[in-house]
Order: sequence, then structure tokens, then C-alpha cells
Amino acid sequence: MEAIFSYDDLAMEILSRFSALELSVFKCVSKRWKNLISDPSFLRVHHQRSQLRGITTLLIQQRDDITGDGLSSIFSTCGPPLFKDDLRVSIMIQNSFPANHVVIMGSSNGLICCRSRRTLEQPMLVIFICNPITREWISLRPTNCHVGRIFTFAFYPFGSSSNKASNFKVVSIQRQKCDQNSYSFVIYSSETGKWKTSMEVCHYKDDLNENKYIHIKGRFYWLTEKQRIITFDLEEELSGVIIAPGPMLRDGIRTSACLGYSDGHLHYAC
Amino acid sequence: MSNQSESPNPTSSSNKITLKTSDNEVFEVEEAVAMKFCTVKQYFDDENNNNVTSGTSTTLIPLPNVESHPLAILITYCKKHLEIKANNADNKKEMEIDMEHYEREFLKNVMPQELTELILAANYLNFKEALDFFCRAVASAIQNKSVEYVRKFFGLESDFKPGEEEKLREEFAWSFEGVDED
Repeated sequence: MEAIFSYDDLAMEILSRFSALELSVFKCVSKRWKNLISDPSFLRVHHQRSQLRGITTLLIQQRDDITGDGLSSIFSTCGPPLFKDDLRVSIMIQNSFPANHVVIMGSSNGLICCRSRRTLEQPMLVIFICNPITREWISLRPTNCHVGRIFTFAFYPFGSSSNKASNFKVVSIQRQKCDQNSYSFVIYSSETGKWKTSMEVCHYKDDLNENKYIHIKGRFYWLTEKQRIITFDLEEELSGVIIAPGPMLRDGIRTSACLGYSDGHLHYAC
Repeated sequence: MSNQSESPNPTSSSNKITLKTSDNEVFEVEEAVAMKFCTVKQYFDDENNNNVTSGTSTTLIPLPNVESHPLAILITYCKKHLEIKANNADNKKEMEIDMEHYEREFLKNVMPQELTELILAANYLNFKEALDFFCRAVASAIQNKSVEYVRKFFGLESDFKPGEEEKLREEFAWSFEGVDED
């Protein structure tokens, strides 16, 4: 059977079907496998296939009223048959983070973004970006800017249109200190390593939902409590407000309402 | 330049195409089957374009990199694939179920060595559906298996220097939890 693996394209065709977790085991098969799995062209093929494959792991952080911040430190994942990486992933996540007391904010192309919980010992906000496979993480502390607790994260493994190197961005959205009826945006870019307050301001008065946001192709969407979606385009640094479809509810959106992404389209479920 | 009404209709399934393998076996297959092999289709189209002016048509296509054994299996698979597709033309879900059922049965009769031949043949012929299916089959055979199992399955030798592999394993130690025993 080794004949198959003498062809790069066939080896890639087979190996690209495995998750990053399984591939970290297969790196030990031989030098050739290790080099192949680490090769940028393989990563690209693997990335394309992963997107077709859809979700492999679902991370759930449960609400826990005892710990105060509303979320427990226990992560659980959906096991087989839905998702096959099951237990290993939750152990991995549990052990990956510098502090157990983090709140998962989101994930993007295999990286996970969390924030610290606000405690007496740790009143400052710290944002962690973690690669659960390699267990590498970095912490970001917003400096010289006003950052709230709602932020989103986007990782571009193959770069964005302006730059081909892999990079990530964190975008936070918060009410302006001077004007409670508008939101400001603060952007962290891994390329510059700096936080920057965008000139863009979104005039909108209602509250946001902490965890109801999505990132699609360079654009962020936050669902507000009043059936509106605030958008922010990373490249242009322009914001906008979209009216969510469906009948208007007097008390705002249902708690089950959410944003999603499928086949290149933004979805809204209510 | 070309006259459409005179050129053979590519969708007609009554036309036969002859394929000649590396071990000199000759297979006569329906055009619809042969056209699933992109390499054959390419050759066929090129030849036909060249022959439009001379008025002759080529139907014998040499396959110097494919032996008769895997080709026979690929033709059977292709026929079945087209049949299932035609039977469920308006129901994608049904088609997938039928195909899955057929593929499961198919794999019961294939030895690992044959799978290699089939992958290489499907790759040369550029028969996408078959290649995808066989690669999936190989992938599921080593799913969640240990490094030693994978090496044995593919007949690969470790070429790491002493200590290199241990270091690598240590780095990813946690990912080995839950891997099947041999």
C-alpha cells in the first residue's frame, strides 16, 4: 500500500480527510508524513475539505450560577455519532488555557478566543487566543482604548486580501463613553500587535446580546435585543444596521433567536 | 469550423468505446461509462476534434498505466454509479442511501492490495467519484488507529532518528489518549 503514498496528491487526498487532532497522531508515522502534514499546500487542501465537512466539535460552556460570572469552567463537547473528536477535545481545552476561569467567546478556523472572568483578583479584562492542538496561547490586554465585554474574533489561516500571511483580528464593540446612544469599534490586529479605535461610530441605542454574533468573510454581525443586526466590515471599517426579518415583537427578540452561517449566507433564526 | 449535426452525440449511450489496458486486454464500454473517466474523455474529445475534418472517428483508446483487473472493477463500479443516479434522478437523498449501500457491499469484496490498485487506476483515469470513495475507504480503515497500526497497514517504516519520534509523541501526548489499541 505504500505505493499510494509515493504520490503527493493521493497522500493529501487521503490525509486531508482527518481532523487536526488525528493528524497530530499521524505526524509520528514517518518523516514524510510529518513533512506532508505540515506542508502549506496540504494545510490549504485540508482547510478546504474541513469547510465542506462542517462542524467536527461543538463546545458547550454551561451556565452556572454558583460561580457568579454566570458560566462554569466546565466545557463539554458533543460526542459521537454527531462529532467524533469527543472527549479528547474537552480535556484538551480544559488543559490548554492558562486560567481555568475563562469564558469562551468564539472560535475561528481552529483557534479559540476566550476572555478572563471578572473577579476581585483579576478585575482587568484579558483576552486569550489559543490553539488547542498545539496548546499554544497568547494573552491580549487592551491598552489605550475602551474595550467592553463583547468582542468577536476572526482568524485567517491564509491571510486576508491585503496580506497572504496568516493573521487574526479581534473586534470589540461597546457603547461610546461620551455618547450612550452609539457604539464604537476597537480592532486588534496580530499583524501590528496593536489595538486601534476605529473612526467608525454606529448610532444605535439598544443593547447587544453578549454571545449572539457571527463572522462571515471579513464582516461581523451582532444581534441586538430589538431585532436589529449591527454589521461591521473589517477592511472598510464601516458599520451598518440591518432589520432582522420576521414579525416585530414588542419585548424584543426571543432568547432562542440566533445568527448562523451556511452556504455563504447569513441566517437568522427566531 | 465543426459541424454539430455530424459529430457524434456525446450523451448517447449506445455508442461504444474500446479501451486497451497495459496488459493488452480490450474492454468495450458504453460511451456514458467511458466519459466518467476524465482522462479517457479528454483523449476522446481531442481525437474527435482532430478527426472532424478527416471524417474518421477514433474509438480505441490505449491506457498504458492501467491493468485489466482494476479497470474491470472500475467499470462495474461506474455502471452501478450511473444506474443508481438514473434511478433516483429526482431524489438526491435516496440516491445517497442507495450509493452508500452499494459501496458498503462493494468494500466487502475488496482486498487491501486491490484498493491500492484501484486508487492508482482511478487517479490515472481521473474518475473523481471512485477516487473519492476509495480514499474515504482507506481513511476509515486507519481512523483512530495507532501509529504502529498505520505503519503496518501501509507497509511504511519509521525513518525517524532515535529520540525524534519520542520527542514528537511527547509533544502531542494528550492526542494519543483514546487511540485504539492494536
